[in-house]
Amino acid sequence: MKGAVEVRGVNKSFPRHQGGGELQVLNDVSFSLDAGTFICLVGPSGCGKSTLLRIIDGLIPPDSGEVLIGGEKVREPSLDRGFVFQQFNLLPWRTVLGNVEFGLENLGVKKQERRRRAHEVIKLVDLEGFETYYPSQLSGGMQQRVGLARAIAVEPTILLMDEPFGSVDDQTRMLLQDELLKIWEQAQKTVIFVTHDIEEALYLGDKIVVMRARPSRITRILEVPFGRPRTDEIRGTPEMGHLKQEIWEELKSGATVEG
Amino acid sequence: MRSETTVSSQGDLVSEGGLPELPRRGREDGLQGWRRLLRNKWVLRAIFYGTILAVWQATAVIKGEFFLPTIPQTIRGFGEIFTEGYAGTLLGTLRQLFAGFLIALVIAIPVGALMGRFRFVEDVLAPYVNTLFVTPKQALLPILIVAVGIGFWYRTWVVILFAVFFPIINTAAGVRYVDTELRETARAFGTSRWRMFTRIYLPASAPFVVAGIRLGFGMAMKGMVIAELWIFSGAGKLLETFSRSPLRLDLYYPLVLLIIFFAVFVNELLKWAERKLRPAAQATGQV
Repeated sequence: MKGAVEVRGVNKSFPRHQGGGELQVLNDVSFSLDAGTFICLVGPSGCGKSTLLRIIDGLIPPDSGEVLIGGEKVREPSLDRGFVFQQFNLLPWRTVLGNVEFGLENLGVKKQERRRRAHEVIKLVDLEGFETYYPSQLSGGMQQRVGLARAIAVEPTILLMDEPFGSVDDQTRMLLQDELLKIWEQAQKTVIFVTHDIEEALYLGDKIVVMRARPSRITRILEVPFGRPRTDEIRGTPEMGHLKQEIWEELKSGATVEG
Repeated sequence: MRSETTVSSQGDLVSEGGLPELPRRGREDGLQGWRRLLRNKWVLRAIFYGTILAVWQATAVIKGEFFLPTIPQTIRGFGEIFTEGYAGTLLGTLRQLFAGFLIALVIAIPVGALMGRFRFVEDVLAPYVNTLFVTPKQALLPILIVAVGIGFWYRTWVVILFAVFFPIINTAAGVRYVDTELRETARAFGTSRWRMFTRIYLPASAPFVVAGIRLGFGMAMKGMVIAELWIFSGAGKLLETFSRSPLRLDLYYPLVLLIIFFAVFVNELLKWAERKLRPAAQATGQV
């Protein structure tokens, strides 16, 4: 299917900064997911989850192995995938509107249509009235709404999100999580969401892929039992507590001092 | 004016969390007014420059016109420069200045951009650029005179030689330091190589480029005057003539001031452009 993702035996090493040699970041990583699934990659920092996400997008090539999306091998980034970055990465010289239109320009969408679609997604992420603002005039949470709008404006089948809510405050994060769910429930895109926040992963995902550092690999894939639509109440349920504990144990057993 | 707040004689804290106001405040109001006036930058500047002008005039009167022309003489000198046919000479100087400066920019910006973007271009060109950048260009003028004579191209080449390096180095730095994150973002959103240049590198490095242009212009001015002093032509010739016998300091000073004013004016223009291009400035709407 169009939005199905298959990761097959991916390996990736980077040269070490000091002492020479190579640091293996991903070691024979494989998993697959169906179209329309919301999957969360959880793991300690340095476990290679952001690297894996970039390999899936085609931003960096794997040393070996391959990624198939809709049965086709990924070679380079495509506007069939929308990327949301941890540090927002908005173009500081463009307004909110200009940033949201960025991907559409590259797609060759005509100006009028571009405007229309940009306004539509700006409305979707609740940023109406801020079209002419520059990123530096917005709070972190609002900037990430722009980042999200930019990614969904190109109508991708897959949304790749790299710790998107990692650099905003707690309250904003919870609001953004709910907004993301609202948008996802309307569009049912495939989402790969990287986070180190276990509760966030459980609250958002259908499935959780637990990763471990050095050697980096997937230790477990877990189905999230909560139904949808999800509301804030599940945050306080005993089941949430149990699952958090379970995943934490899993991560802790693989954690090293180095990690 | 704020009304007097009553303070208990013991000096207790009175009003809502504010500092207790001291009773002598009222008496200082006159002094406060003066202080406020002195804090106004225009008042300060008026005092400062007024003092300088007064010292100038006093010195000129005491020492005589062979040391320093008086202010009225200088003002008359300005008029004379424009009426006595010197304007044409200066216009010629200006024309060559801009010809050389524009050629310098046409060379510098693409070269700088390529150096910043492609490692191999940097590897090849950086040694030459850096060597020439630190070389006192005056030392090369005789070679240039031998090579191109003392016509239009001599002065133009001197200006190019002086002006070209700052824009090269600045543009290269601006392009080189375009955020890795921005580049990655642009790639993730399917930006082609060419659009990468026009949509990312160009706007991201624009403030650096303009700063380089501004610094380059300062050098171009310097190069122009030095070139003319060497071959005794244009504004350089006038500068030298006025400061020789028969001494015309009443023309010399206006000419120097004219050159300075012109340089400052263009510099401010470019500074304004620089601020305008900085994203933060766009954001606050202040320029």
